[in-house]
Amino acid sequence: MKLIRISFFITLIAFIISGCDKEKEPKKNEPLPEKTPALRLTFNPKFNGRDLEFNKMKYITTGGDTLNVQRVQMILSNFELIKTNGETVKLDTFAYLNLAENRNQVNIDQEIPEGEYKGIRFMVGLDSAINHGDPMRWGKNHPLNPIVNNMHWGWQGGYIFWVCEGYFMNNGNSNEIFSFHMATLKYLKNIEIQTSNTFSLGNNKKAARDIDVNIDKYFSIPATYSLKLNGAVSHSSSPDEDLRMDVLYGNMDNTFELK
Amino acid sequence: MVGKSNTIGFIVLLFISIYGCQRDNSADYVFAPTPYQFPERKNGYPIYEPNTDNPLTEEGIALGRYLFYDPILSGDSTQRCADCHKQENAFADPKRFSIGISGAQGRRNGMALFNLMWHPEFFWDGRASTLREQVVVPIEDPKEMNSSMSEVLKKLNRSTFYRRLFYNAFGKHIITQDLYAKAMEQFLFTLISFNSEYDKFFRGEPTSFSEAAFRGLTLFNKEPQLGGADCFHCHGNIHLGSFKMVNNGLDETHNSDLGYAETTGKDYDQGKFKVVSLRNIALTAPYMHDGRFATLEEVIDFYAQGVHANSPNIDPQMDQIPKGLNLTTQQKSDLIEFLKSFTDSEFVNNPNFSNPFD
Repeated sequence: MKLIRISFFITLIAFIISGCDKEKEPKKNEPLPEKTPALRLTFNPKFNGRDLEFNKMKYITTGGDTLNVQRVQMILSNFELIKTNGETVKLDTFAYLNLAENRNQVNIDQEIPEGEYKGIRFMVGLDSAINHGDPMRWGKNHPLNPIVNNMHWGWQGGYIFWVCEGYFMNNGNSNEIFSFHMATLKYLKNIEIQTSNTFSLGNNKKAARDIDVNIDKYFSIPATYSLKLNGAVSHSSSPDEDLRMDVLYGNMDNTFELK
Repeated sequence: MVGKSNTIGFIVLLFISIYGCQRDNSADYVFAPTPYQFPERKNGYPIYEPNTDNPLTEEGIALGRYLFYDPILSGDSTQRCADCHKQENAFADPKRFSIGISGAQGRRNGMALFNLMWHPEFFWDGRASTLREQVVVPIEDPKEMNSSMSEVLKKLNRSTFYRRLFYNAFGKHIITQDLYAKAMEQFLFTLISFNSEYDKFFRGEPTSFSEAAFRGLTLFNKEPQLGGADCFHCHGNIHLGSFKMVNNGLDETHNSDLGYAETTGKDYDQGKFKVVSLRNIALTAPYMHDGRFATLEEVIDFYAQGVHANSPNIDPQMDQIPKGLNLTTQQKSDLIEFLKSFTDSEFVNNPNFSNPFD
């Protein structure tokens, strides 16, 4: 009888404790599996056809400079897909890429007409209305939010469209900064890249394609650029700087390659 | 007789069990939170995006404010968050290094607190990726409040005052670390500072923005090769700070403090520290992660002539600055006038942010 009473007391106390603890935090939900987009474009930094390693002073350009690339960043817009029959499909996509930090994918998940596709067009930069619109209207994770991309010029208005920065060995054999910031509508760049490796989209078909970003070609094709001779800095903000940017702007036609 | 006393014992125990669990349902315990109304967003300013799992309420904010000003969070109940983050200094620490409850001194300057909703990382070295992570660290740091979250939660759960406030804010009787962090987040998210003379000038409103400040603005936004001071690459957005981790060339080597590399473990992050907002900068001395500069004049002199060009991992956006800025005395003075225009007097005097125990 005594044993029964003790058991009853213990049960009651256990009930009290567990009753008071009923508000323990629920377990966190497991993360949902990532949804595969209709089209995934992966931008891969390259130098002479091989994966570019950031923060390594080891790349030699045609112009004779030894480089350590720190950053390659870009804002992309006005994407279009090109069908094998030449028709184009506009995409409602903006992208901010920061290749040194592995932010290198553009995921397109809108409805795409069924067909066989051979190419992609996009703009490096933004058209005037968006470039000079209110930069803070974008949500905190949007590619055009200046805190996300750190590529807005603030007071002066507009975004930097393309950044290529790092160090090079100067004539004194010590590290010197190179910094190219392509900006302003003058340097809005249209890119069209095609591949013989066509891909099917639409009707629930999904595809993934790699796009090489060839930093060696950025400094060499068609115009050979020497940091030591031509200058290591341009912010697209003065006539002198524009002379440098004009060359590199031209080279961007050969910088991107659809695989 | 034994049977009768047992029966009374059961009844008392049942009474305790029922009221022990429901004691928080008295008249003071009302869970009907009032949604917080943010100030009107103006063109050019960021949109308000509190976390969806923690909508701001008047009750949650009030609770966070009490916690911020309450020494209950420290190991010996003597130190408050507000002791190192003073409202008159835009919630920065005017001491070079903060002193903890044990008398120990930290190694970095206490950061200013405002516009935190838009920060991607916290601390000088970005070691907290959310504000909710951040608000736990000083409690558990032996050089700061030298306590533990379990101790703090015990104290909070023993307090009828806080049990009621937590219930009214979150509808929960048991105070957890998650609820503590959410309350702090709510209060800290309301520390919004966008009403300096610079902002009024930017918005075209009546302002005392001076001609000297305007000349400083021009220098601020111009590159060195064009005769400017090139501040805007890191401080050009509406926050007047990119919040990125960079090495601005403070030191020739990074042995004394590895900075961001302590978070990432990467050699190339050595010497990198968070780019802070320049808002309220005239109130937040001393400057840099280690508070080495006591005045804005010292800071300008550093950028003009003291940047270490060969500092490992110096940020390429420092660009031409390491070669030296050719700023005249007048230009330096103009720059400082511009920096002073970032002071938001309304913010540092806002009674909604002051000590609620006063």
